[in-house]
Amino acid sequence: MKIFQKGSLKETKRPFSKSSGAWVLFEGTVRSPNKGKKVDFINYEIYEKMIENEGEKIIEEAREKWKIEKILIKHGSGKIKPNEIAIQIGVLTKHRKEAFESAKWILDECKERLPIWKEEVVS
Amino acid sequence: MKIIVFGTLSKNLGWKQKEIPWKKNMTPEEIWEKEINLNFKQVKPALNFEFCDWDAAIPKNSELAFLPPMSGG
Repeated sequence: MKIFQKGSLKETKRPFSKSSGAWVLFEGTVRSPNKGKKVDFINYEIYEKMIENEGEKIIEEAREKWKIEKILIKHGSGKIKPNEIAIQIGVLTKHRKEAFESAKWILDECKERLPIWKEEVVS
Repeated sequence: MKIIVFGTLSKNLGWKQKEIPWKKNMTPEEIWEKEINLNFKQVKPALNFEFCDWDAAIPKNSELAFLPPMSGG
């Protein structure tokens, strides 16, 4: 799976599954205004050589904690404008409890560990 | 070997990456003190694309990154 994407992310479809009944998808978008200022865009800088390794580790660790059929992690880069998608975390599991729990854990780990830096450009 | 920096660290230093001569027994901490030495909190070193300790041994031809607090999402 490729985590790093150039530009903003496109909306994603639920993966096909007959055996798993819970698909939790989180999409983080750029918002404006932020702290009272109009946001033109956020510029995301990515350490491309490291992001895939670290993302795969997060996926492996999540699979050790929960029984998960599919995990989606994607992050955009460069200029992303308000309402555009910067990050997607998707988890497909049998039941909702582990889907919600694992999706939140994965998102928190991504924010802490994926080598990404943002700079908000306001006007 | 190569040193690479990101985010506010890069902006403060005015450079993104540089080559330095490799020496035996050098550590990320020593390189930080010699080449950067800014009062930055919560910076993490990464050696060849994996987080490492500040006293890690650095192999020849390595890429050492200094990562300020990450802010994805």
